[in-house]
Amino acid sequence: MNYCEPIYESLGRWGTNPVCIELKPDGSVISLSALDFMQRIDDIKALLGKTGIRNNDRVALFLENSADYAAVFLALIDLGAKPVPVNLAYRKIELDEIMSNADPHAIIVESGHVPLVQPFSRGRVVIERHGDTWACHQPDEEMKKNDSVDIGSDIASINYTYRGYGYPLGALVPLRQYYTGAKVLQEGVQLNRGENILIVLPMVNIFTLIGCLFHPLLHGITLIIAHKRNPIQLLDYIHRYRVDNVLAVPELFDLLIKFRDDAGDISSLKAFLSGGSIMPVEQYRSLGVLFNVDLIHGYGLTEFTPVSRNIRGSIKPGSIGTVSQGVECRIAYPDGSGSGEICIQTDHMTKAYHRRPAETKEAFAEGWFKTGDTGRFEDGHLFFTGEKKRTRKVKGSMVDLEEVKKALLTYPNLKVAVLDYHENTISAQIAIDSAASFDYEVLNIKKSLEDRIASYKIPKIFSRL
Amino acid sequence: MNNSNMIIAENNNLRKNIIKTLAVIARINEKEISDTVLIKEELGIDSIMSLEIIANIEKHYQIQINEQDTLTIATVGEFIDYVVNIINKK
Repeated sequence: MNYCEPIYESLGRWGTNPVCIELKPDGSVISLSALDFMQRIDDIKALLGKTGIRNNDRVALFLENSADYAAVFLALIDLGAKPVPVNLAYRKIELDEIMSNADPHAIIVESGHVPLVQPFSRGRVVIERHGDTWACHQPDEEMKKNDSVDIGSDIASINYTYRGYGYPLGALVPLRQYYTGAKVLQEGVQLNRGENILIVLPMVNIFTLIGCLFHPLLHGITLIIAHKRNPIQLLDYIHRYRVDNVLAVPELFDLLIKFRDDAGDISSLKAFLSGGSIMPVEQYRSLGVLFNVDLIHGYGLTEFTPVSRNIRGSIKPGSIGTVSQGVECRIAYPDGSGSGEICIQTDHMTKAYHRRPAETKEAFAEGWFKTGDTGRFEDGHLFFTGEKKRTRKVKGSMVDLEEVKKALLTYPNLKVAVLDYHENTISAQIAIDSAASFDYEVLNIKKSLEDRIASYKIPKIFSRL
Repeated sequence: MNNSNMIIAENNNLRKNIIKTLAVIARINEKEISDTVLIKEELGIDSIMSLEIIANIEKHYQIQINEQDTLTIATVGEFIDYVVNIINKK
């Protein structure tokens, strides 16, 4: 079976526009036509085949955004292997859990991130990407992983997410989730063939994989991959490459507002696609006025994206849009304002977490997936009201408060930690037995956490309990 | 003013400007920022804030900063030296 057939079909009738333009940090540009991109997927498939990667093998990806990331992801799916995208910000605690749970046969890693994967390379094929070249390191034959557990031909990838248990869960994302997600996203954003989209978010996120890979490739939209993300550069890219659409989190759009006066001609802009965290009504209005674009905000989860999205032409500011076609949504146990847990049901979504039967059972009770988020309906539009689960979004990135607490408690003599969250900031109240000053200990705690968890998860404010 | 005095004056000015930028974005009094202060742990600068700092400095000094390079910079002093180095190479 050719799992990527719909994408190949789309590439086959692409036309003359490039499929992908990659803007490298050194200022050089790579432009790939449809033929170039298909060739790149084929070359990578051949490379993967030579290394012994085959159907059902799990392959951890430690790659930065690039045309190669897109080609590797599609090549693996086409081979029936299961890509496991890994957030490059993750450190020991997250990586220990993911690598133990996913137990990948192979690792594909950017050369600059090799030290990150070294503790996990034993017994695994390691493919290192260095610029345009690839190097393969095979393990000794007797140490080579040889299990071929079938996790299902319908599963495209294992994508890690959080639900507040203190450790990540590997969502078994079916291929139809990618294709359906792209279809219902298009119903909302209504981009036109021949347009382009600027990609700034890491491809590890499902929002990026659907919004910046499957959706554009299926709809004839050129991917423009930006390696630099600072707002001056982004506005310059928009000007120089006549960018039509940008997909980002509200916090990045906020930076564009701050530097709007420094932009050249950005009249090419048509739409901003937003998700990942809350977009306040005021920000929505500022973006509309300052950039003269349609701002299309939506909501999704690793288990299904987009659950809801605004529809171009009938956008409701402050909302996360109307529920996507084919998704059933109900609000469980609503309070007086109508707000309760958002529960969804669709045939196209993730149905289980990898090797986590108890967590799967709890999340997918009675045929409904409990998102752990709360919301309410108003005139058919969904409004996000908060998180019931012990996770919070810090500037678009998910933080599991239990995991942060667990990381804090590894610090010597730290006895108790109570975590709180307010406006993108995590704070920690701690009790610690130490003769040293509190400020000294806090600084050391922060330094020690840098090696243990992703930097954005480290509490900013500490106080004594 | 001779050439070396001019360079010192320019560097002092640049140092002040960078510290001022950091102070505004971190919402900290600039008097509390010295070369040895840790950017992430003490100023609380996160990745989105660092993008704003980089944009301000690129705009002000008309330079290009490689965002990946800045990930390994720990202190305010190291950051200032990094920017001075780019300006000098211009």
